[in-house]
Parts: sequence; structure tokens; C-alpha cells
Amino acid sequence: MRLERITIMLMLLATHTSSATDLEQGRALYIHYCGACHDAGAGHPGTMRLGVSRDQAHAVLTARSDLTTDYVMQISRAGNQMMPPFRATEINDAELAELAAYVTQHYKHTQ
Amino acid sequence: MLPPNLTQADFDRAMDELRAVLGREWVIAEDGPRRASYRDPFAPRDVDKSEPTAAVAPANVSEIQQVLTIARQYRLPLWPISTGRNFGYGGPAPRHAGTVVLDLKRMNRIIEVNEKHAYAVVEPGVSYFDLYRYLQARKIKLWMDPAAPGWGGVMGNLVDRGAGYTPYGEHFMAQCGMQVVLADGTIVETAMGATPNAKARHLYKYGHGAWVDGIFTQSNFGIVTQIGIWLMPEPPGYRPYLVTFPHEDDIHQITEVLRPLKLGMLVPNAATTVGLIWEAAVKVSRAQYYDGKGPLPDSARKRLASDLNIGNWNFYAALYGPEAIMNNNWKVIEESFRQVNGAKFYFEADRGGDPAFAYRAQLMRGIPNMTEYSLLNWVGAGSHVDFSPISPVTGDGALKQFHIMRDLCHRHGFDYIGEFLVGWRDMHHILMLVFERNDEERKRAVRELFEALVNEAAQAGYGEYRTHLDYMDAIAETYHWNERALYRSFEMMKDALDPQGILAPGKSGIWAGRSHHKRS
Repeated sequence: MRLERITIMLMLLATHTSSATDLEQGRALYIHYCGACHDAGAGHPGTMRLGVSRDQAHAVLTARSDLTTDYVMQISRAGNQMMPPFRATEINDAELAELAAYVTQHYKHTQ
Repeated sequence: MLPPNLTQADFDRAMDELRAVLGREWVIAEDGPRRASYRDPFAPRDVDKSEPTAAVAPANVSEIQQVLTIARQYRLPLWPISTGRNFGYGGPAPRHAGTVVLDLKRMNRIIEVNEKHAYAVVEPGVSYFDLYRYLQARKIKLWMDPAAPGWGGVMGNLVDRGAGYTPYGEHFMAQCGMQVVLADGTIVETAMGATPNAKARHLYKYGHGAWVDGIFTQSNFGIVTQIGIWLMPEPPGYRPYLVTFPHEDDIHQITEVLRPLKLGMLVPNAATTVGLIWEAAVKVSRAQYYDGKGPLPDSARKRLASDLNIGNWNFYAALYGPEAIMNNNWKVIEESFRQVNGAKFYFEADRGGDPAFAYRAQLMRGIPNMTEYSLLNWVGAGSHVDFSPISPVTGDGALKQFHIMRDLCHRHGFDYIGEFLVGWRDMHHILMLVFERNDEERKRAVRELFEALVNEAAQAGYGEYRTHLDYMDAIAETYHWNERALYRSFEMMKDALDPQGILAPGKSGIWAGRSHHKRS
């Protein structure tokens, strides 16, 4: 229960008050955990999959505006389609919140 | 599911004691996504049933020793994992749900990189991405050897006797020095590491007396907590290449041509002869070429080969060294493969924008990536289990194995998605069985096919080098020469080193408590 409460607080924090430092940390986490599968271009299996299961407009995670931190955190921990879950020993809840903040807000900086 | 012979009350007490050692965060015993993340998500059966009873995550050797003390007291079975990300063989899950996963991912220190002698010392949680980025950040001119998915573990892959694609592709060959914690908590440094203040711990593999490092690979005799691994000095030149061959049965001649090149070290790296669909599936999906059931028909295979400018077999290797040596070696290699009718030759500049060539070129020079994971897109959001027998480097052996495996795949309604990875005197023949992960009927078909593969390969004299959790006993049964003498010796070692059987029950088909009644 306590962990859930902390997670929710972190999610709210990430949604509403992500600082430039948080996003920079989130960017580093994205590069470490996500980029090899989800970056733009050929050779990235996650991008390839989403291009088929959704469409090309939803293929690149960091270009999307429809993702929420809650969803990114949930999918990372539970897995989705062919992506297996990431365990708490691989990326902890606080890091996951930073990562989700970066993924969900990156599109604003590329428009 | 509780561990065998443990009451709920004892289990709860054991968890409380573990929390006192590791902290609440690192004893994951409650229902929820944290524990569910230890399932085998690609299991060709009910995935939910692969969820372990708990997972615990120590941060160092001292905590492992304390966990072992509690495990011995309660007879709590532990399943050690390192990064837990080889999903073709079971991921982070244990063989049986009533087992506690001992997750070593938090032990993720790169303890040493020695540039002078070209080696690294790592803990279990270090991934290929971690080590690569460490080397890059410090501009260290050493190459590591990654397995195909870069999220894999340097130590875990080696201890499971995995392979990569550089000249150091036989990972266990490059191992030197090991730290192991035994079930009784004793810390063992193997080989030269057993001399106090050792000066050659990661330079000479064997030390004095019996050499035991091998018994801690693919086994359950101890928990490996550190490993030394040799790295390859960056060569002055690197030139990856691809040779395509038009016909399926060309695998015979390709392999005959390859053997002397490999033995003579003109092909110095762990090279691959990749089947059509394996090569194609990082770029396209099956639905783009065929929407029917069963294996891809010949007409679709021909379109695939033509559209992507690939062969029924695609040989990837690389030249390493000074220009003059690469140029001379290439003359011999090209002349040799030209003997196969229809062979076509490509270098990097010829395959611009080709993700298959790009990721192979990266792997053969030690750059980890995730591109091969795209194979799961072949059938949509796929899963996979791998069947991987060893073949001699002979045309007859390769062709026979290929025919057995392709025909069985087709008979059971699957595409053959395979490659041959050549070592010094063997080939790992990797068959990736890709299937729709939420389709129970396909999972049943995978199970039937896998059983047939194990049996037919064994009858033909081919054993598997590594396998998924669900097939460890089945593969162990195929190593039965002289009334299971090899496995009986494993059981004697198991009972001597881990008499309570608390470490990784059933790993590689090795079980505790079987040595005495078999000998009597």
C-alpha cells in the first residue's frame, strides 16, 4: 500500500512538475532502457511493431502526444505485446516515473 | 504456489527473515505487477502458472550468504538469475513456480577493466549495454562480444554457455577467473584467484589442481557472483561482409567451403549462415507476404528473396586486421565461396539502409543492439522458444539437420526460422520457434513440435547445447550414454555441494537427492 502511494505521488509529480533536470534524467533512462527498441528508423523492433499494430503516426514513442505517465509506467512494468516486463531490480519506481515523464513530454520539444 | 514441503507459516517466517536482511523493497512476495514481472512471458503454456512464489534481490555477496542461511534453515529453493532477459529460454522465471527467484540484477558493478591485458571483471547484473557504454565513455579500445539482444547479461550468458559473433564469440572460451558462493555460504575463487593477493587471476585460466569453472556453468552447484572475461583489442581494420546463396540445399556446399576457412582462421569470428526468413523478419512481417496458415509457400519465399535481395542462405562474417591482411584473406574467401553457384558478395557500402546487414555488422564488432528481436514481429506480437542442437561443420551434418528441422516445422504448421553459428569445430544450429503468444492452439502445436524435434535430433545423434526451462529434463534424457553416467556424476556433485537441493532445482535436468538410490 505504501509503495502504491509513493508511486502515485511520483506519477503526479512527473505529470505536473517535471523539471528540466528530471527530463534530462528521464532522457538518459530512455536511452538506456528504451531507445534500442523504440527509436525512429529501421532496426528498432518496438517501432516496427507499433507501426503495424497501430500505425506509423504511433510508431515512435517519443513523438507521441497521446501517452500518459500512468500508461507508460504500467506497460513498462507489465509488458505489452512482445515487450516483456521490466522488473523493479532493473528500473525502480522513481526511475520509471522520470522515464515516463520524458517519454510523454518529449513531443512538445520537437514541434 | 508454496515451495514443496513448506507450510504457509514457515514460508511467511522465511519471508520476514529475508525482509530483515534485504529490506522490504527487495523481498517481492505479494501479488501484483512486481512479482508478475518474474513470469516467463513467452512460455508455450499458461504464462500465469510460471509466476514464482517470490523473488528476492540481494545487493552483494554478504547478503547472498545471509539469504542462503535462511534458505538452508527453511529448505527454501532459490533460482538465481542475472539479468533474466533471455526470453527464448525462460527469462527470469524458475522451472517451478514454488521456487524463490534470487535476482542478482542489483549486483551490477563493473569491477575492473584492464586495458593492458584486455579483460573485464563483472558482476551478474551487468548487461551488454552497460559494459559497452562503460568502454565507450572511457574511450577504451577494447571490444566485448555481445549476444544478439543487448539487454542480455555478460555473465549470465557466459555461465549459460551462450555465444556471440566476434572472434571471441565462444564466450566460455574467453572466461578467466570466477567467484562462486556455494550453498553452504562458502565463497570460492577459482584457479589463480585461490592464491592470496593473486597477480594473474584473470590471465591464466587453470591454476593448480582440478579446474572447476566449467561445473558452475549450466548447473546448480553454486551461485556465480563475479567473472573475468577477456576482451578483444580493437583491430586496425574491420570489414564485415555478406555472401548470399540462392538454394536451400546450398547449405551443404556452403558448410564444406566454410570448414577449412574456419579451421585456418581466415574466418576468425563466430560467423553465421542465416536462413531466408530469419534474414527477412527484421525488415518485413509474414502478413505482408502470406495470409494463409502453415509454412510460407515457395512462391512467397521467392518474392521475399527477390524483394529484399537476399538468399535462401545468407553468410555473415568479417575481416579483421591491417588492410594488407584483410585484402589477402578476402581473395581466398571470395575464391572459396565462388565455388557455390549463384553466390553474391556484399560489403557495407553495398547494403546501405539494410537493417539486417547493419545489426550484424555491429554485433561482429562488439556493438550491442536489439534489432534481432524484430523477428518476433514475423507473426505479429510473437513469442519464441529456441531449439538449438550442435552440428559438425560438415555439409552432410548441416543438410541433414536442416532437413529434419525444416520438415518437422512444416509438418506442424510452422516456418523454419533458423541459422547456423559456426564455432571452431562445431555449429550451433539455432531454430527460433516464433508463435502467436495469446493463441493456445499454437502453443499446443509448439509443444508437440518441440518434443518431435528433441526426439528426432537425438535419434540422429544430435544433442542440444542449451534449452528452455520446460525442456531441461527432456534434453537431459538424451545425454544417457552408459546408463546416464554423465548425469549420475552430476547428481553426485549436486548432493555433495548442495545436499538440501536449495539451488536452482532441476536446472539443466540436474536434481538433488538422486545420487544415493541410483548408486545402490
